[in-house]
Amino acid sequence: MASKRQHGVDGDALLTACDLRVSLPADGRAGLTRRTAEVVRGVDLTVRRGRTLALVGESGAGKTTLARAALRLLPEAHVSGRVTFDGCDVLSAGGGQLRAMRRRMQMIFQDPAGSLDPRMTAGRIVAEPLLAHRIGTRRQRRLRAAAMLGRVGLPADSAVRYPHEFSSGQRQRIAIARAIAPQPDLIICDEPVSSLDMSIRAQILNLLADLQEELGLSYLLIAHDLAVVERFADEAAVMYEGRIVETGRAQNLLTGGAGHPYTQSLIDSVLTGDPARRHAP
Amino acid sequence: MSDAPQTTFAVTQRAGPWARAGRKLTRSPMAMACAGVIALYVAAAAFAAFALAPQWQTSQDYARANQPPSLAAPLGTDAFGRSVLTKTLLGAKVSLTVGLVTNVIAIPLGMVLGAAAGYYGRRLDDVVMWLVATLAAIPGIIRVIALKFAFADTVLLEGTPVRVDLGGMAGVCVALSLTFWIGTCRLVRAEAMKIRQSDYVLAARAAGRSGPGILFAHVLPNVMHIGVINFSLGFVAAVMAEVVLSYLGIGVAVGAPSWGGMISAARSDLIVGRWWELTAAVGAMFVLVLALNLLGDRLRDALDPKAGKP
Amino acid sequence: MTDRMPLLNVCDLRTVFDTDSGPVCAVDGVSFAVRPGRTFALVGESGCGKTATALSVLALVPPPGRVTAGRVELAGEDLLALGERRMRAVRGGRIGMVFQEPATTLDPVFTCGRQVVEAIRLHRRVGARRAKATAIDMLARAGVDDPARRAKQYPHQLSGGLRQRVMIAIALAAGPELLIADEPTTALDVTTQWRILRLLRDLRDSDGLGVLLITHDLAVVAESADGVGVMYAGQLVETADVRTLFAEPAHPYTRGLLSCAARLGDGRGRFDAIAGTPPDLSAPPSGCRFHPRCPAGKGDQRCGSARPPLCMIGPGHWCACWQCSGDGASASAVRPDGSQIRRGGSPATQPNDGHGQERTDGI
Repeated sequence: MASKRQHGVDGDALLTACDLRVSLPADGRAGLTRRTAEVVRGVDLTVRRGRTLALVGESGAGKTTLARAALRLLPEAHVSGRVTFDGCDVLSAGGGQLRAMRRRMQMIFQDPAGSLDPRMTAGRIVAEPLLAHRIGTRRQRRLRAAAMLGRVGLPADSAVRYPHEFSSGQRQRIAIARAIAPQPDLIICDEPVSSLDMSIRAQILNLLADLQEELGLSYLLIAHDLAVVERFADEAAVMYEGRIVETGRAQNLLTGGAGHPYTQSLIDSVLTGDPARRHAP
Repeated sequence: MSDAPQTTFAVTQRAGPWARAGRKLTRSPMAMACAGVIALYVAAAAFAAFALAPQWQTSQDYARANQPPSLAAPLGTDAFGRSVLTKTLLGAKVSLTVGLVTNVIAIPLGMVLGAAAGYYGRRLDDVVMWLVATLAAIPGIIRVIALKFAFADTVLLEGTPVRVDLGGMAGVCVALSLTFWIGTCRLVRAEAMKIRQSDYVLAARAAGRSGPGILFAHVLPNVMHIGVINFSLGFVAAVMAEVVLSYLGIGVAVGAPSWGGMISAARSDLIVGRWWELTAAVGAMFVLVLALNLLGDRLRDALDPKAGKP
Repeated sequence: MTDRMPLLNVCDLRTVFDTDSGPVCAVDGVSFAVRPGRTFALVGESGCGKTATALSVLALVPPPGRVTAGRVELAGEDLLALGERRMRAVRGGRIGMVFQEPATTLDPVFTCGRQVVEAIRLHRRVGARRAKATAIDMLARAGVDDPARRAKQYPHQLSGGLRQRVMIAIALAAGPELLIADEPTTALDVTTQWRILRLLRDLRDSDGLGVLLITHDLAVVAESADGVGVMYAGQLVETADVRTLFAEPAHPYTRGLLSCAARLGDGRGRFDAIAGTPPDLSAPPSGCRFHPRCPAGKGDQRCGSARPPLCMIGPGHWCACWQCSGDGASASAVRPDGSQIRRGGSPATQPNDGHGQERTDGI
């Protein structure tokens, strides 16, 4: 079973972005048109080892684009700036180096159903990163996949089942098992619980917290639910129209006060969840 | 350890997409009946190929030529005194062989090119689509005829035991498959373009999978259902195309038994009241095509990925 | 809450889906009332039957589902007894519905204005010009900026919040008495969410509508609802007015849900979770459907064998739990919608009685 990372000091910078800019083609296919829209406009951020950085903001702010571009998963985008992962430059890394880095950076998506190939069994899905990086023999991969599925709380015979046989929460667990299989350092969680029910959300977030503790993982959490961010994250960065407007410790940032006005407006919009304190009539 | 549920799964039967589709099909009486009919044809054709074919050429008997259906010859006899029933069965062998071989070539070809074009896009897509558009601009049957004539004298692997004479049935199959791959290619390409945008492909790329790996592990399995459905549709089209070609005299070797040939012979026969050859050929063709079409419909329903749990 | 006659009275509603794996009772004896000028929220997680309930009210349950028992009364008239033709007049005309995903429920090939006009002309005999003017007026009331221009735009040209406002305009265009809103803010941003909720509240107050709000988000309930019904696995497990429910939740599931929700200001830490997952409705647990996941009542035999009846535990506060109602003997014999229950009796004499009567059922 995986053990806590030994190399690297807890709290050190793991993933840093410096003046990161991402432009996407505004319409049509890349290459056919020169019209681009700058979606990420000069972003600096740092994810520390063993910690969670939350990226908050409304839809369209560029959070998902930022995360995907940092992993070089957007071939049609034009990316400039600097992104370093554990000291190595990500944006200019060659094929082999990039693949080695990919193994240590994994991703979890918002829609659990869409992120699992409906024609593959859970076991094959979880073993896929191991296969892609040629880790272990087939038997070892199978065993590790089964172990990961058990680690995330799925029943013993899950490995031969197909995604449609699982509930939403369980599918997200499969996605998490897939993410931790290659023993990564960093996991980017793109709205991992937004489409799940309330009670399942809590289970999944607790699972992620446990895994972070046990495996020394770092998370870049993209979320729009401020209350979840306050409970889960160490640091937070508020994004608005492609720029980071405020960063800091999550708990301090989100208790309001003398922060950026946009952050304050986000905080003000949150429903209190208390019938005695409704929004102003 | 998280407070996760240890649920048991309600269904214990195999739940793979093909297993589910198979169950849906077996539950449909119509599908099973059609499958039975097709199986009967295959059995009859096999029987004809092995038991009846050897004596075909030597069974001419002019004394018994042109007899209407009777107990001795259930479907009558043709101009050479041969049993029309035997001729129909041998024709079935020809039709089924053409249907099978044509699609075995056309469908994989269309699927691979379509998937690659849809997934990779850009240059590869341009090239494939140019090829498709160019070929599709020529009307179907003319395409087939042109290709058939082009291959008329070609003999592959001359001198080896696997000598393939493209002048006859092989030529029909190749000509038809080079024209049928287009439909599958277009459909698969459209689906591959959708799959390319899906989260699970993105997850595979994030996991470190390479392009060809994703193509074979994720794209092709998710378009396989299109291939299967098009196979059943293509089978019908190939059978009918072969009949047309043989009718025109440019199908399988002239004189060899085939339904098209039988229909062609009827042009002169009907005037003198000899209806049995035409009826046999048309009737056999009608039943086979009907069964294939109905089964194809059921297959499409069963394989519909949006249908959800059984 | 009993000062007004209920606008919508749902009584013992039962909806069953005939699936390949057997009959699934998606709505199992649900009763509640919506009063004019008030919002009643049905809250629960996916699969609890709240959307199925809303569809049953509108007689829009898709096959293989059908409503098998119960009454749905709109201002006294039983909707389930109406034929399809008369129900069409009710849908849109007397009951408006707002859906979750405006992107998919608005037709992409028609302009917004055209869709509002269509809703008006289906139910009111007005000329085209009058209808168009009314449509623009409705869009303005729904808070759409520059309504004349927006009316000529297509749904894809509008933001999520604006699309939802258009949906609301369509739902209210023909002047219905009741509005059903199914997860109206789930697909929206945080900043847009409360604006839409406030809009719904304002329109409700100005038009005297009754609102049936379906949601899984307790914060939305806290913000907008007057009365709440908590559903689990097709059954109503607790119902009360909103302040009572949040202040003194009685049912363990309600308590679990409330503690699951993270609130700003609580600081760093773990989340309270309810163990387990909602049951598979084709084979639900025997007795109380929540008992496999329930932290309370361990050792109580009744939890696993008998379905707890909905009993009154306070003014207007009902709970279906063996732990909060004791043996039920002291429970009042009045149902949430005001009608009397006869206690005891054999099933043969009380075919539809789901409350106030012990049952040893599995399904």
